[in-house]
Amino acid sequence: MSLCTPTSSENYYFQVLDNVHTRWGQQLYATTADVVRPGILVMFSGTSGSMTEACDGDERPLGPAYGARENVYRPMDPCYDANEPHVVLTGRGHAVLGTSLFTGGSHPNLLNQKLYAGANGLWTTVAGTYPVGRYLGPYYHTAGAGVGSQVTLSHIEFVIPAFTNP
Amino acid sequence: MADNIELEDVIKFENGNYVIASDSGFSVQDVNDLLAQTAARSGKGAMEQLLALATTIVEPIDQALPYILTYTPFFTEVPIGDLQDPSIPRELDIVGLCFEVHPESEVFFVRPSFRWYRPELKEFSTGVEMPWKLMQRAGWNVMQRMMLRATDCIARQIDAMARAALDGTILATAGMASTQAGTTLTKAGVDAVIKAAHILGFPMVRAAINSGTVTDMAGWTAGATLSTISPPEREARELLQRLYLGNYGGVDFSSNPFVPTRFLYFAGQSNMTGFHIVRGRTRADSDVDIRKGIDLHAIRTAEHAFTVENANNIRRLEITGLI
Repeated sequence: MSLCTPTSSENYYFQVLDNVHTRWGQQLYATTADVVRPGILVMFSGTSGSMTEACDGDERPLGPAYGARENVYRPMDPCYDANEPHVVLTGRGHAVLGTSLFTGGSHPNLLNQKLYAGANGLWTTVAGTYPVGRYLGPYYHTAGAGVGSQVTLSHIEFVIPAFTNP
Repeated sequence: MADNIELEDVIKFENGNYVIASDSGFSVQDVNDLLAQTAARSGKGAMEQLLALATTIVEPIDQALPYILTYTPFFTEVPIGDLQDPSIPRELDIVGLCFEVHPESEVFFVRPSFRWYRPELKEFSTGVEMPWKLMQRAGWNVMQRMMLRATDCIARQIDAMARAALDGTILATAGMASTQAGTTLTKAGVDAVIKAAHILGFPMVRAAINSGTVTDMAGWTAGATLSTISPPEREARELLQRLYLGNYGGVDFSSNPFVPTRFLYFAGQSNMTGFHIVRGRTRADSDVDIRKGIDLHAIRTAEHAFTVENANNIRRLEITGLI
C-alpha cells in the first residue's frame, strides 16, 4: 500500500468536519510529486515561502494539505504533482483521520492525547517538537453492503500553529 | 463556413441517436469546428452546449444500498409539538381487586393511580459541504449521491435507536429472547417463538429477517410440531424461485440485508407494542460560503424517542451459530 494508491480508501481518510478554520491556498505548491495528499502535514521546502513538502517533524508544520487536485483533468490519485497548487488548513478545526495518517499506522488510544507532527507528514502521539492538535476519540462509520462493516476513524481537533499546548 | 455554428443546426435526434443531419449541409469537419468552438467556450450558448455534452457522462455505480428502516415500523409513531409534554401514561399494577366473601362481609375498595413516563429524545444532524468546482467538474450528480449518503446515515441512526429499545426490553423480560443452535434457521426455532407468543395471547404478526437467512433454512417440510403439512405449492414455489418467505404461522416476514443474520425480530401489532415519539420537525437549511467557494447544506432531524410499553408483544430469535 502506498500513499497515492492505497488499497483501502479508509486508511488515508481525511475529512474536515467544520467550517471555521482557514483554508490557505495562496501561492502554495507541492515541490515534488507523490509525497503530499490531503491530510499530510506539510512544511515549507527551502526559503521561497511557497513550495511545500511533507513535514519531517523537525520543522514547524504549516498544517495538513487539503483540496481536490486542480491541475489535472480527472485525476486518478489524490497525491499532488510537482508544482501543483494545494490548500493548507490553518487555525483550529475538527477532522476525522484514517489509520495510515498516523505514524505506526494505528489510531491514538488515549482521549485528549496530544498530537505532534511526525516524519513523512504523518500525525503522531510520540512527543515531538511541534504539537498540532489533540485526539478527541474514535469515530465509527458504518460502510458497505448488508449490515455493513464498522470503520474506526480518529476524531481530532487540529490547532495550527500550536506554539504551546493545544 | 459561418463562424457561428449552432448545435441544433448540425445534429438531429433520429432513432434514439444524435446524428449529423444529412440535409443540414454540414460535414464532420463542421462538427469538429463546433466542438472546438464550445471547448474554447466562445460563441452564443457555448456553455449550454458544453453542459449538453456532459449529460452523456455516466454516474459511478452505487456500491451501497439505500437503507431500509427495519425496526422503526415496530412502533406507533406519535408526533408531538415543540411545546408539548412528551409524557406517556402508564398503567399501574392494581392488586386486591376482588375476593371471595361471606355475604355479610363489607366490600373492600381499591382505587387506581397514575404515573407517566418521559422518554429521552435524541436529535441527529448531518451537513454536506459542496465545493463549487467539484460540482462543475464531476460531471455527474455528486450532490444527489452525497445527500443520499447523508440521509441514509441518519436513517441508520434512528433505526439503531429503535433496535436498542427492542433489545433492551427483550433482554430484560424473561422468555422473550429465544435461541436456537446451529447456523441455519430452523422451523422448530420459529415455531417455538410463535407458540410462546400464542400461549401469552399476544401473537406475533411481523418479523424482520436477513435476506440471506431466508436462503438457509432447515426442517421446513413435514415438521413434527405443526402437523405434517408441507408448504402449499405456491408458497413453496415462491420460496424456491424468489426467496420470498411471506407469511408463516400468521407472521409476515419482511427480509432485507440490514437485519443481522444472527437475529430475527418478531412483533405483534405495532399499536400494541410501544411508541415512536417524534417532537418537532426535520428542517433543512442551505447557505453559501463565498470565502471558501462552497455550498453548505444542513439537515437537523426532529427529536426521536422509542419506548416499548408492552414487553409481551416483541420477541427475538437468536441463531447462536451465526455471527
